[in-house]
Amino acid sequence: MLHELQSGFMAAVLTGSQTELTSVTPKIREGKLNTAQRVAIYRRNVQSTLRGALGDIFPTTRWMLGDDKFLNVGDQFILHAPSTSGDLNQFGRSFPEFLSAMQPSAAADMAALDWAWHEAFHAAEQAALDLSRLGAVPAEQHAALVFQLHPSARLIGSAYPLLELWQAHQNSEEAPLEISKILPADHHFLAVHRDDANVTLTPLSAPQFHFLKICAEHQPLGEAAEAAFALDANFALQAFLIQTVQQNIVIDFNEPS
Amino acid sequence: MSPHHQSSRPPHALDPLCAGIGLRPPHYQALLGKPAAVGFLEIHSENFFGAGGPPRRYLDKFREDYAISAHGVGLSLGSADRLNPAHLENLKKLIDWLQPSLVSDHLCWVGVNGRYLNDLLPIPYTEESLKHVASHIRQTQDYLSRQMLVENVSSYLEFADSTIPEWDFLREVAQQTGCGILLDVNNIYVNSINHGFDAMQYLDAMQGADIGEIHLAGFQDTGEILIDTHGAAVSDAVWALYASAINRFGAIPTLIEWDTDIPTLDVLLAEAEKANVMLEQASFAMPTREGRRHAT
Ligand SMILES: [Fe+2]
Repeated sequence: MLHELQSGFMAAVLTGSQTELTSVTPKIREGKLNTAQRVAIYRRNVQSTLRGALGDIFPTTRWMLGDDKFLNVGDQFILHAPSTSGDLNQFGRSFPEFLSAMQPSAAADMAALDWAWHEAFHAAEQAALDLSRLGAVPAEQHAALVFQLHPSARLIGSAYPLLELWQAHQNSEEAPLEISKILPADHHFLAVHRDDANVTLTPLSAPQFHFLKICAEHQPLGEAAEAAFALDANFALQAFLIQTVQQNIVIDFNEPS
Repeated sequence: MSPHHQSSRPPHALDPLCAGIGLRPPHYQALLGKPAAVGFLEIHSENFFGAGGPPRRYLDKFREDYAISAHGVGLSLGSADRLNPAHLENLKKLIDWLQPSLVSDHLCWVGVNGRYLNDLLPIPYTEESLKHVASHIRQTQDYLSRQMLVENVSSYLEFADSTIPEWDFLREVAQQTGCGILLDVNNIYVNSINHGFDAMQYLDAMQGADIGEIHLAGFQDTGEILIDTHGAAVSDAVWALYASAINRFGAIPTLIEWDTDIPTLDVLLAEAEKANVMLEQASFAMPTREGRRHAT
C-alpha cells in the first residue's frame, strides 16, 4: 500500500498530469486547500530543487543557452531522466548526453565540461608523484610502466573552443556569441583536474590528449607514447610527463610485475 | 601525505547551552576566523560525500574548532524501496572520517522505485509505515554502529489512510528503534497551522530524554498555508513554542537553519544568541537535563 501510494504521488508530482492527480486524489485529505493545490506545492518545491541543482552544476551551459532555454531543456531532462540518488550532487550525470542527443552543439559539449568540473571539485585527494621514483626505474623498463592519473582528472575533446568559452563566462556575465553561430571547426582538447585545492583547465595538443587518454585507460607508457608519436613525430614525451607530474595530473605508476 | 587521514580524535562535546548554525559556503571565510562563534556547526551530509576537494578541506578545518552535526536529506527512511546501499556506504565513509557529534535524517520519503524527488515528502502515519520506517532506522543504526536522530518534517497534506497522530508516530519510532528525535519546532508550528492541531499537544506526546537536538527556522505564509522555506528569521510564535519546549525538557542543543536567501553571518549569530539567552533561562528553571535524566 505504501508502495502504491508513493508511486502514484511521485508520478503526479513529476508530470503534473491530471490523470495522475486524479488517481492520488482519494488518498489525500482536502481542507482549506484541495488536492490539486496540495500536490502543486510539492511540484513547485521539487521543480525548484531540481532546477536549482542543474543550474548550480552546469553554470557555463546555462550561460551559453540563456536562462529560458536552459530552464526548458532542464525541465525536459528532469522528466526524461529523473534523479536516481538521494544525493543531489549526482543529479545531471547524463545531462550532457541528453543535450547532445537532442542536437550536438557547443552547449552540449560545455555540459560535459561543467560536469567534469563538478566531479573534479569533489574528487578524492592524492599526493603528488615523487619524480625520483621514476628515475630509479631502469630505462629499458619505462615502456611497460602503467601511469595513473589523479582521481580528479577528466579529459575532454570537442569540436568547439570550450576553454575560450569557459573563460569568457568567468570574465563576464554578458551573453556569449549566439550558439548557432559557433560552428564546429577544429579539435580542441583539455584536461580538467585539481591542482591542489583548485579545479584547473589545461589546454592539450592532440598528441598530449591521446597520450593521457591511453594512460587513463591503464595502458602502458609504450602504447601511450606510440599513439602520441603517430600524431607528432617530435612529441616531447619526457617534458610532457614532467609537466603533468608537476601539475598533479599524473600521480603514480605501477612497476611491471 | 593526504590531509584527509582518518581521525581517532573523539568528537567535540556538544554544549546544550550554546546554539549552532548550519554551515553554508557563503559563511566559510567569515567563520574561519572565528573558532568559537557558535556552539556547533551542522552540515548537509550529502554535500560532503565526495572524498576530497574544497568541501572536505574546509570541513577538515572546521572540525578542528567545532562540534559537527551531520544532517542528511537523502536516506529516504520512509520509502517503500529498500535503503539505498550506495547512499548508506557514502554516509558511513563520511561519518568514519568526520566523527560527528550527531547524525540525523528525516521522518519522510525522498523517492521510490529507484527515482528521487529530492524533497522531504510526508508518509502516511499507519501501522504499516511505522513497522517499515522503524526497520529502516534500525538497519541504518546497525550499519553506522551508532544512534541516529530522526527529524519531524513540515507537510502540506495529510493522507486519508493515516490512523496515528504524527506526534504519537514520532514518539513510537524513537521507542521502537532507540533512535533519538531531532525536534524541529518550526515544523511542528507549520504543521499545527496547516493541519489544524494544537502544537502543545505535540510537545505533550514527547519524552524529553528522546530529544537529541532542536531545529529552529523561518517559514513563509502564503495566506493559505505555511511553507517551510528555511529562508527567514524564526517567527515569534516559533520562539514561544521553543520556550515551552526547553522549559519543559531542559536545554537541548539547538540549531538555527537558514538555507535560502542566506543572510550574513551576523544575522545568524544574532538568532543563535537569542536561542542562547532562552537556553540559559531554561537551565535556571531546570538546572541540568542530564541530572533529570539520571533521576528518572
Ligand atoms: Fe529542520
